[in-house]
Parts: sequence; structure tokens; C-alpha cells
Amino acid sequence: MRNVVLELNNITCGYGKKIILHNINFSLFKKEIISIIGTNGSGKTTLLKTIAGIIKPEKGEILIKNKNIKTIPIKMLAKKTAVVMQSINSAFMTVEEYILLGRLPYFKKYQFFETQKDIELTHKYMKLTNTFKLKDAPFNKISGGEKQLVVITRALVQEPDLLLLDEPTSHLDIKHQTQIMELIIRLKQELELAVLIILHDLNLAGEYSDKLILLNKKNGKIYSLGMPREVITEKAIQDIYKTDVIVKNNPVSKKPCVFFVSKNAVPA
Amino acid sequence: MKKKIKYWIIIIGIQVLILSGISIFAISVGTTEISFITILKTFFLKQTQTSEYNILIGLRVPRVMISIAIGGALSLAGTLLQGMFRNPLVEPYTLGISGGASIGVCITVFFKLSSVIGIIAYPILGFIGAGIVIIIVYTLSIKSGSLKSNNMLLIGVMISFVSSSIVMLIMAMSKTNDLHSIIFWIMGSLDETNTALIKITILGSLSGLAVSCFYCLDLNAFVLGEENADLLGINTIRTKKVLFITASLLTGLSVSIAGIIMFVGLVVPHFMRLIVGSDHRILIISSFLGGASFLTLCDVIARTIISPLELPVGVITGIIGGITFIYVLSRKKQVVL
Repeated sequence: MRNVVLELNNITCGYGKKIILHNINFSLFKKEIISIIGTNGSGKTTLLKTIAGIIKPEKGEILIKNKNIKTIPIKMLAKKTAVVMQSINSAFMTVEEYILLGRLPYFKKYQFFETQKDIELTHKYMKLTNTFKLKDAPFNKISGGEKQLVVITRALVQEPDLLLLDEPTSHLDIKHQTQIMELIIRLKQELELAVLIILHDLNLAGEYSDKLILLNKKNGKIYSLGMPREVITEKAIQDIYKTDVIVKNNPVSKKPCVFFVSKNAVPA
Repeated sequence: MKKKIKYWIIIIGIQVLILSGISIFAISVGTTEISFITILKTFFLKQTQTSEYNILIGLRVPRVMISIAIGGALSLAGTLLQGMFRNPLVEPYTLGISGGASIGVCITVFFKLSSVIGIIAYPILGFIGAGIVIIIVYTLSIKSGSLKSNNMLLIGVMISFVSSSIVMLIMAMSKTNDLHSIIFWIMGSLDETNTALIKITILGSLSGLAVSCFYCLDLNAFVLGEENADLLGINTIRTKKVLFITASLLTGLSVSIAGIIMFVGLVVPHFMRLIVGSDHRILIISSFLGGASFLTLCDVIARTIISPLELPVGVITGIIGGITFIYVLSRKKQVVL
């Protein structure tokens, strides 16, 4: 049997009394990438935050490696799950210092300084993500694409089993978008990670994920879950996004690709 | 890492040297100049019968100790709050604590409480005032078990406005003599000779430093934002509560002993950040030592510039702190946090 890393059983969650998602069920395995897609306000970030433990679910249980996250102490949880949030705060420190913060969950109670092991691990992951060359650069002075790589490296030094990413490619150009997505695929293979990503770009999601979850804003449930070609269909996009598109297969990868259809565009 | 620790030890060493130098200078200057040799003789050869001994032990040493304790406390409180709120404009007085203490002191003056319980009425009432504000800000900004940073700041700022209006109201109703005492207290002075109070101040200030040191790594994680700190396994709710209370008590203590001394808590943490960086493991200690040195130096200037008269130290910290800060910022072109 494949190793289940994350399992959601009947999760209902939201902010206080405002329930956003109802009865969400799915499993995420080791060496698997699942992308969550859906319209703005469909609850993608809410779901991610619930899995990360920031929002307590109203109903249901979340298991990480068969353990309910309710029973896992927060420091322990930080060793199992690493999260890359959408917004990145500025920080007046070097890239290396920034990434070293990811080792905090491993600090003992009265430990104030990093161990040699912490530093070696940090350097190892910096080389893996190609950020080692930025080691002494001030975090605030590097580019947006580099920042995203650094934040992902910070998550990696937590040595998690599960990596959660909230729109890691937003605001990036296509070079950096593909760079980040290729990196995530490599991490999945080399570190045997389970990865859950929120993506807005359906083509990126279709190309790079093993499975997709399409959320339905109308009823707060999963509209469809499955392989990219099962989820990204013209009907599903019309139902959820209310947008006319044509879905064709990518000639090289055979993955689904979404084409916009404009009613007013001048013919080429 | 070893290189970094070595660098930190050197920085702390230099700061301790600077503070010692300023302290010796501070106890030697004044209306009666006392040479370094005389100071050494008085302390090491135990020459206790001289008039220099009386000046040193009775006046100048306590004053230097108070300025070290209060300068350190204010600067430390500023560092904690700026780190916690991730806001470069926050200083110890932003939370309205000085306002509460001012009202306490105004009440003491207005109702002549010092003639009932003695001169100690000022710090006691000041501290009570500060304490009440701490409780108000804390309870109003706590929501579902966690302190909401923005709420805390807004409530603090509002309390500052309300209390300064009340202070003005009391001043408007006061007699000229009382008015003078209130104004002088508000402008800040380090002239405190009560040994018990001095001991409390030093002890309070040092305990604040000790508590803060335990939370230096949590503050480092706060650089990433509260949510991310949470995700790194930091108990941000507890950290915020402990640091808010620590910073408030440090401020309350300083205000009730020395009045309102502006700028130390705002400027010194910024300066130290420019010099040592944002790592709170060094920043907390550096800010404490820097604040202590800065206030002691400002106090020497306040005492000597128009000697034998004395200027309120708050005026000097405001002028020197403000001007140097603008100068540094205009050259640096970046506020760091």
C-alpha cells in the first residue's frame, strides 16, 4: 500500500460561524502533488490554513501520517508540515539567516544558537534549490523569484513530510513560474515529499500536478477530484468559472491545456 | 556560527566599555569636578570621610545607576514592541502607559497626596496609573484568547489622547506652584535618591532584560509575520502576552520613577538595529546597553550645560535623539526592522 501522508475526513471549516467548506475528503500520498484550483473565494486558502493548523475545523479530522493533528504539539507539527504562505514579509537579514529560521522547530528548550548540523542542513537545501549563491545577500534586496525560492528553502529545512504552498507562482514571470514548478517536482522525487499547492493558473496546475481538486464556491464542496484530464474539462470550467474555454491536450505532455475564447477579439 | 558569536561578544564588550566610560565621566562632572584619581581613591581606598565621598555616594552614583536602569528599560521596551508589532514607529509610550502614569502624578500633585504619604507618592501613584492603563489595553485588545496587535496599538494611541486631555484638564484647574511640579515631572528627571526605589528600578530593569532574552528567538520568528511564526511552532499567543506585559511594566516603572523621557525607546532600538542587525539574540542586549549609555550621556549634558541650573533630561534626549536620527535616516534612506 502506498504511504498516506495527509488524510482529510469530512472536514467542515471556515472562519468562526461562517462555514466555507463542507465535508471535504481526500488523501495525499508520499511523492504526490495535488493542486487545489477554484474561483476566488472558493475556500482554497481556508482549506490550506485548516490543514496547516491555523484554522481549527468545525467538524471532521485531519490526519498526518495517521495521527490527528489535534493531538500533535505545535512544534512537532512544524517538523511534519511546512507552509509557504502567499505573502512574503520583508526581513532585514541575510538569505542564510532567513532560511535558518526554518530550523527553529528543532531548537531545544533553552537552546539559543544553531548547531553545526542545522547549518550543514541549511547549506544542503540551499544548494538543492540553487539559492546557495545568495547566502550573504540581504533578503530585501533579492528579486521576487529568488525570494520565492528562498521561502521554499526555509520550508524545506523544516524537513517536513508534507509541503503546503499557497500560490507560489503568483507575480512571477513564466521563466520563474516554470522554475518553481520544476523545483517542486524535483523535491517530490528527491525528498519524497507530499505536496499540496494552491494554483490559479489552470495550465500550470494541469501540467505539473498528479491530481487536481476543483472547489465549488456555490456549495463549498469539491466539484471534482482526479487526474488533470478528468478535472480540467470544458464543462467543469464553464460550471465553476462561468467562462467559455476550449480544452485541448498539450502536444508534448498530453496534459490538458486551457485556451480562452474571446468574443470580441480581432481574428489573427 | 562561532564567527557570529565572537562578533557579538566583541560588540557587547565595546558597548560595556562605552557605558563604563560614560558612567565614570558622569560621576566626575558636575558643579564640583571630581577627578578620576579621586574617584579611584574614594572607592578603592575607602576614603569615606571626604566631601567627595558624600557627593559620589549620595548623589552621582545613584543618579548614574538610575539612568542606566531606565535608559536600558525604555530602550528594551521599544525593541520588544517594535519587534512584536513589526512597526518602526512603535515606542514604549505608544501604548498609552505614560498617559496613565501622568494622570497618577497629576492627581498626586492636585490633591497634595505627597504631604500625606511623602515624596514616594509620585512613583506609587504613577505606577498605579500606568498599571491601570496596562490592564485596560490588555483586556480591550484581547479577543478569543489572543492579543490583536492592531487593536492594541489603536487602543493605546486613543488612551494617550484621552489621558493627555485629562492631564491638561487637571493642569487648567491647578495653582501655579502645582503646575510647575507637574510640568517638571512630565519633562522627566533622573533625580531620585530613595535607595529602595533605586534598587527596585535596577532590579525591575534587569529582570525585564532576563525575561526578554528568553524570547529572543520568538522575536526573530516574528520577523516572518505572526502566522509564519505560528507555523514554525512558536506559541505566538503566549509570546505576545509575556512581551506586552514585560514591555509595559518596564515602561510603567521608568515613567513613574523618572517621568516622561522621550525618544530613548524609539531611537536607540533603531540605531542598534542599524549597527548589529535584526537578530534579537544580540539586539536585545545591545539595545539595553545602548539605551543605558545614551540616557546617562544625555543626563550629564542636562546637568552641566547651564550649570548650576539643570535642564530636564527629556528635553535633551528629544533634541539629540531626534536630530541624530533624522541625520542617520537621511543618509541611510531605509528604515530597517
